[in-house]
Amino acid sequence: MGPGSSLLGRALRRVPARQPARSGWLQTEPGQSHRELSARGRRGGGSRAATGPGRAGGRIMFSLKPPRPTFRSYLLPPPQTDDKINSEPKIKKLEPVLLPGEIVVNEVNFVRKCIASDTSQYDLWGKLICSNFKISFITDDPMPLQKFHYRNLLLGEHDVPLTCIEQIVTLNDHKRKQKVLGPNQKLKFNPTELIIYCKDFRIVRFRFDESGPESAKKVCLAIAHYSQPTDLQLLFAFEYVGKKYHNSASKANGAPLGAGGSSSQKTPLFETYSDWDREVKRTGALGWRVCSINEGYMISTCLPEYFVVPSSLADQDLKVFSHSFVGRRMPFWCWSHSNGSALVRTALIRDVLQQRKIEQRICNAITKSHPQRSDVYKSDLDKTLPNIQDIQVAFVKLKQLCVNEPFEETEEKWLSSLENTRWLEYVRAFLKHAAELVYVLESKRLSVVLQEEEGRDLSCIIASLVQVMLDPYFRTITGFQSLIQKEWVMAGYPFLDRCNHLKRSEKEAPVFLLFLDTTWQLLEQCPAAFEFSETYLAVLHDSTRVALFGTFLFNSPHQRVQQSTEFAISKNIQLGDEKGLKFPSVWDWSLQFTPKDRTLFHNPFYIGKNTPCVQNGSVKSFKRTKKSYSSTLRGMPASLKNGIISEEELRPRRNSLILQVKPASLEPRDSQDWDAEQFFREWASRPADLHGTILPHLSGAHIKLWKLCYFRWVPEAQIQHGGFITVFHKLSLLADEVDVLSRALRQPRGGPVPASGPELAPSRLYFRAGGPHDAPGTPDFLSSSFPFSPVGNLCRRSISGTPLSKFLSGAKIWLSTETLANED
Amino acid sequence: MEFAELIRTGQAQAELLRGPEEPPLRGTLCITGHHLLLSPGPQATPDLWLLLLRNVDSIEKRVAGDSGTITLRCKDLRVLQLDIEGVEATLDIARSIEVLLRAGQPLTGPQKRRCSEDEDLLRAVLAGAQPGARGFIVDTRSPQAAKQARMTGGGTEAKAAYPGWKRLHRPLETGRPLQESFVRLVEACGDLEQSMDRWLNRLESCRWLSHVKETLSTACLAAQSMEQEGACVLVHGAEGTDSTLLITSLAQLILDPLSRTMAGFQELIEREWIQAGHPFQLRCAHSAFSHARPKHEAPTFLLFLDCVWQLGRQFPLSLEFGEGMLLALFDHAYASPFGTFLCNNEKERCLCEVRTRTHSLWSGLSQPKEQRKLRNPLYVPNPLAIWPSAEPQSLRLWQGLFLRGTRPPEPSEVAWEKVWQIVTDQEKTEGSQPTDSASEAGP
Repeated sequence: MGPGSSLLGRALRRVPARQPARSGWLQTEPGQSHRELSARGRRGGGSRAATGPGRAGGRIMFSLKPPRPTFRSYLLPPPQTDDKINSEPKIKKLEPVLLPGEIVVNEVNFVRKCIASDTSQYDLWGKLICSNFKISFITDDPMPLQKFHYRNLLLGEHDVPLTCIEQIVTLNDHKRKQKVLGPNQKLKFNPTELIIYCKDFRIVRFRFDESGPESAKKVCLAIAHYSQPTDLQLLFAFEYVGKKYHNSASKANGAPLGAGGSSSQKTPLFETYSDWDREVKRTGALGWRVCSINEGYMISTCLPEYFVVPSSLADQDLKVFSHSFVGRRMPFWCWSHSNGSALVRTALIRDVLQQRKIEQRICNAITKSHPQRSDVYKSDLDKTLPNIQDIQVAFVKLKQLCVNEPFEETEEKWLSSLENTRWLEYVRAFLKHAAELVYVLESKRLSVVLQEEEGRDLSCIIASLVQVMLDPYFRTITGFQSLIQKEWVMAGYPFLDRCNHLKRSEKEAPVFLLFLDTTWQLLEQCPAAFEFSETYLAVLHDSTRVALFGTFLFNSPHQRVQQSTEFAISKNIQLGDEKGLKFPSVWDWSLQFTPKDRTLFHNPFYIGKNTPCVQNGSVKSFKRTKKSYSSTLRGMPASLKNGIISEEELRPRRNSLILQVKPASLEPRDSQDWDAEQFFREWASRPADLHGTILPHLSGAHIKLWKLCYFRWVPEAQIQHGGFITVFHKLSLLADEVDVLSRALRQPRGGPVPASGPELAPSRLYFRAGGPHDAPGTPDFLSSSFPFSPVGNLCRRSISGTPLSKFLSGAKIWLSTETLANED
Repeated sequence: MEFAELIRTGQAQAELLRGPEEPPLRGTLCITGHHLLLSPGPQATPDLWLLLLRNVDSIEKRVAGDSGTITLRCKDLRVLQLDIEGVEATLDIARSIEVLLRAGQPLTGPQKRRCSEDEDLLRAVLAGAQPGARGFIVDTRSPQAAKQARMTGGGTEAKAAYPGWKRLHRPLETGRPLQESFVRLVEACGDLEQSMDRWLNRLESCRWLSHVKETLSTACLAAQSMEQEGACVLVHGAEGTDSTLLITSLAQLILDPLSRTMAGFQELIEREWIQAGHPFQLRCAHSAFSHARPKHEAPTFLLFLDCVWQLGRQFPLSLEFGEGMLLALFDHAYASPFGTFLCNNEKERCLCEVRTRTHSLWSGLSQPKEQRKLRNPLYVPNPLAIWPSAEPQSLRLWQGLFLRGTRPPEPSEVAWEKVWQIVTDQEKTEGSQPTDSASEAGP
């Protein structure tokens, strides 16, 4: 934004700024709706329902130059009488919506939220507040060009949780100064502009041209201060939970245990003995037992209190062994295949002298727990996979690429720049490694031990991926959530450090996002095997940035207990029998979304075991035949030839942490390699069993960029009225109709079922067939970013971030000016 | 047929491998003047396998022991492998096919500077422009190229002579660079496993996707000038038979819902490509596997099909035809038992009496058996213009074509098959039962 506004204008405009109570006139000012409509008509050229509220704007068109709000205030002074009547309720509306325990730290009025940088006509006027949970922009102005807003019950559409803030930049364009704000810093100039860079790739811009310079400065400093807390207990979740405990009277009904809490109730949290026990029984693992030696975190502070070990190892032995392991993280069980092979995670053994002996004992015990007494296959993840620094570097590059401002610049080099980030390469590396372990577990019937220095990062991804591929239960929503509880939250994935909630971690790395991305690849390749949709994965990722849920806040379950006990003592909260404070769980989705919105998590493609649509025998259509194909032919499926790194290849590269994907070697491969190839081939030739093992295709062409997650805010990459969501919509309608019909079919057979049956059972799908207001055809608000909206979330040069924006701007150069002067 | 005498051996025992998805086929191989036939023994499936010899782009033979292998690379990018018993038989068959290929190559017709249909169109547009109405001339050459063309007597519209018209240059590459890009892309897709770690770099260096991007964005520009400016648009390139057609036909797909239907799309191709004089015979003489030096070959039509595929991917519900239709058109443009894509223009077609002496592809495609493969199960008529995103981020490699036969079927495709079934089942039930029980049970 150039220093466009004249000083005179500023002086004039500041007059109302000194009278904060008169904010009313501002709101009738910008005349969005008129503009919005004209802009819309221009773009799509179709019949669109005017969704904007019908406030008659009637303001004259403006030049394309940066904002000159000077004119605005005097051209259309709203009738004073009306304004006075209306001013009261309007001011009330500008009150922030606060959660229990949330307090407003600072606020500033007459703030302009910038929507596009080439014009100010779409900008919104309102109040910017900073609370101890979020920054919130409160406005009455409707968002221009936005047809759908996915409502989060905790966060308004202009809100950014403090933990989601990546960087705060203040600018003063008169003095041409810029400063990145850290905590407890001084600001020597009055900011005219504030840019918030968010961890979820959003970039939000505010201008303070009309607001009091001092209060603007104060808000900026407050945001900087509160978004970079010095202590974990200053995160909002503590305040929130403390408040809940203090209102103990309302605790009974305050605790969300109603209908909405059902999903959280269903998800096993693996905090108790019985959850683990049930999981052992579910997988049919014999020879494994739940041990409770870590009760009260007596052994290790980064292991769960209960975990599963080979039955043949006594508690006493475990206690002795534990000292030798990094972080005292001894081997613990993750999952068992129906053939008896188990998946085990462990940290490295520090004690070199003891190493052999302990390893031997552990391996023997694992072998004993296997029904066939099979050997143990060790997989050293540190040596075969990229490390967390690599992942972070790749992610930072990817982020730069995705929000790159003159978007066209990346155009020519897009594919190679994408490749150079190495993100997709890492995604493939993890999928590939997991697929190899699936082969070992399923086909070679060996138990697999995942070894990693601490066993808290890469093991989380690999262990989860292997289970998602092998066990259909983990492809349901509840199952997937329990998997994250089991392999991430309870297994001690350091969410606090990796998400960098306190902005002080040196070890920030999006390992969890990488897992969601790899899961998305599987979902993309095998859509019918998953109960959840990609929206679910994206929303789950966003939830890691909301510092309200205990789920993603701590480095380990022990830290949660310890910190919350400390906090409880300092705040005089009676904990009673509970171990630490009960933070809300992210799995309680009712805290964030309405039941209707939550149905967007459901994948209409999913063919679940219980859904009636499969039971008509049409599953048979999933057959496909495939016979051996001579490898002399060009273009063997890459995944088969190259899908496996032989053990030989894995072992010698001790120092290399960088993944190497070698081109298919021509020398004869050893037998195991060949076997693996055979395994993948056979798997691919069988009819896809959606309730059995699924394996990914790994060739470069099959690994894709997760557009919904990384590009949802980029208007240029958005496809209006198109994209995959239109298929999602149409299939939802079909699937819903099938649901309704099969329910109707079952009714007469089941005898006197109450007539209200179909209404009682809510649809699992967001889009319903034959709903009262569903017109046939594709809804207007669908776009490839659905349910997210780029408008206002990424301040770009142009708002009309349709794919055509480039032509509009480009055409201006070519076309005569008179044809396009009144374009924007 | 006169080719018959060139055939050395008519028959041999052979096994045919068609790709990872399909089972090998074993039987007797026969060569005729136009076809390669494989008839499996009586115990196996009674299906005859048949390959049009014109479809073969290149042939490679290899002998090992007492059997031989012939690899046929087809113009439709399929790769076939024939394992033949007996060295002699292998060599004979390979030679026969080679001879037939050479003999069967098309003669290049007289090259016309410009096809008359295009000139007619041009004149008509100019005449139709109302006084005061603005028009844009989208020139698919760069300004330099246009200037050069003027030196050699070619035409650009002089500014003074056309008041109310603005000329925009959107250079699109045609001809050899396009063909080279195509060849490189097919090469890269052929050895996917070799280029796995630098796959995207390799894909980029083929420049195929940037051709797709440029084409789509120019088409958008033309469409936008019409839709939003209400202006007349005149598109032309050098001869009006390549990139011009690309832009005009794509712009129509973007704007006109009718052209997105099955019948409309066929009409569009008939009108904008076949009758407008796209020299199919010249452009599609060789595909990507041929070792012959390209002369007039260019995958312009393929580029069009790819752009349509991108549209279909971005708007999965808005096209009545599916990927199968595009693949079929691609196959038939390069080698076809039908006469629709024969010859270079209408005049030649008249001379050769193509209409009376061959069958039309469109009637072939309208068979109910074919329709199932060609239609998009999710089609919902969309009255609006569909504005695609022409950003590189939104474009994808057309795997269904370029990785054809060399990749395992994606589970998603299997899921699509399922979707197809649901949709057709639904249509059936709706057809037999006029009242829909869903609407009663629903609310």
